[in-house]
Amino acid sequence: MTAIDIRDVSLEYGEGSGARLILSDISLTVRSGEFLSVIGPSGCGKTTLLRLIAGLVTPTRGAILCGDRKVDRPSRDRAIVFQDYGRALLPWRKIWSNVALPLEGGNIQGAALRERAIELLKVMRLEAVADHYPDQLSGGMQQRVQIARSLAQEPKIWLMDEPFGALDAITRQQLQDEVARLAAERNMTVVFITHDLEEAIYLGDRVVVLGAHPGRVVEEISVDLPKPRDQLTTREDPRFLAHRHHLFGLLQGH
Amino acid sequence: MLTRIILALLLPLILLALWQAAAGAGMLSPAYFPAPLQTLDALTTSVVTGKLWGPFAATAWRMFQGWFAASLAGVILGAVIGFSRTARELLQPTLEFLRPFPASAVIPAAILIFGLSNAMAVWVIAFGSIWPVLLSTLHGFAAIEPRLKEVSAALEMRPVDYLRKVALPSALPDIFTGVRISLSIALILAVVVEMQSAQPGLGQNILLAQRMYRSPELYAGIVVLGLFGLAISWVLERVEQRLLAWKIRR
Ligand SMILES: Nc1ncnc2c1ncn2[C@@H]1O[C@H](COP(=O)(O)OP(=O)(O)O)[C@@H](O)[C@H]1O
Ligand SMILES: [Mg+2]
Repeated sequence: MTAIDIRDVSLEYGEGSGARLILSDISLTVRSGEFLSVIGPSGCGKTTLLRLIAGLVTPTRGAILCGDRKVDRPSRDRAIVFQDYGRALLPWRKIWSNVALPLEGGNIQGAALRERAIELLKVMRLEAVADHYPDQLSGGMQQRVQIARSLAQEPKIWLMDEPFGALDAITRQQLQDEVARLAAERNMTVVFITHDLEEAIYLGDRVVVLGAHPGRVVEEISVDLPKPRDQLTTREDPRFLAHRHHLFGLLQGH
Repeated sequence: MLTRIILALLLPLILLALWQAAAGAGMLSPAYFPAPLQTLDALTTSVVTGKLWGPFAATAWRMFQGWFAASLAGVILGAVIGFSRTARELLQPTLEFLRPFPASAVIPAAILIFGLSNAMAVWVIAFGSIWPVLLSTLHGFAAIEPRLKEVSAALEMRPVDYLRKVALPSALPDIFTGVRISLSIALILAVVVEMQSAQPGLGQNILLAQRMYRSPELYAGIVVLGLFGLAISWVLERVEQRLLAWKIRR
């Protein structure tokens, strides 16, 4: 089943003679439960593509469908993990309360709200800072709070924009596995943007390479590596290395 | 803490002592510069006899009414203008036009319209003190982090929840700055409007004391106003520290 259907989408910013074509004729489908990695040079329109899927921006031409509904606004079904985590948290709320935000107004209330938020923080190994404020946390921790919050939303589609850019290597690998596990466990469809080629292959069922000026799809590969993946064996697998070789050359070329 | 207070009080106390000494030596005219102890005497008398409280309460109440009206209107108007581009384009030019009018200059017009009444005084105070709270609220609402709007949109938050959970907390530090400045302007205007329109209150008492050359009473009035200003800004600071604990924490 198709979860996201991007049909000949183009996007321009600006109007008239000042219009700039950012994304040109993107066509992509993402299967339900699929993990799609998107990679491409900085400024090629990765974030813009994610914002289109989220419904924060509407395409100039073409359409995006989620299920059989046209995307024309954001929805609770699609959680976004923003690249600029520092701006995406509510600075006046404690960490647990930030995570509880999507739960408010739902079935869980009172003390249970906090408990549920703390459960989610545990997944991100952040329960110790539940009563801190966002600006007391490092960038990597703030990003994990944002991930925990997006989980509280219980989305069908998980949209992540370079989520691990601010993390150290060890935490990064831990979270890669955590995200892969959660996506599989909750059967989420994931669009995962990264500028790290190995990360794209390691996590993805498929990797899409975007080229720049204007942003367009230049390559799509299926990653035929068994899941769940393993930080050591997967990365040493000859197929992994072959993909890496192929895509590396492609990215250098652009 | 204690040493800081002592240090802060040192200079005023020395100046007062010098003033007292100079007055005692006959170097200052008592009609213009009464000895500080005389002022203190006048102050204690008016406190003890209860003569102070009537005018004090009148001034404080007037100031509070004007300030409260200004804050309420300023926050609502500022929120609407900060939120909506249409409202901004519709209202902002008029507001920019009204803003430079010195509030004390509108007093005669206000007297003409409302008569020599407390309502007139409250209107003048409200008009003069609305600007800081209005402009800073406007700024606060216009400067809400766009990413937070998107977070709210992705959660399909209702507008009322967005206002309550995101917009208002985000604008609150700015609102508070405005409210504080507005309060000090309201106090100034309360005194000025009393002086110009013979409304009972501390301002009028000061003016009368001056006309009758009772300078200790005049200075006593000034001291009371100063202490009052200090007290309300202290209260506001406490409230702010409570409400904005997340911001002032360190
Ligand atoms: N709101 C906007 N208005 C105008 N141009 C924009 C806007 N957002 C992004 N762009 C431009 O679109 C291009 C792609 O940006 P972005 O999607 O953020 O790239 P990436 O995430 O791949 O680094 C950039 O050239 C950027 O300057
Ligand atoms: Mg980006």
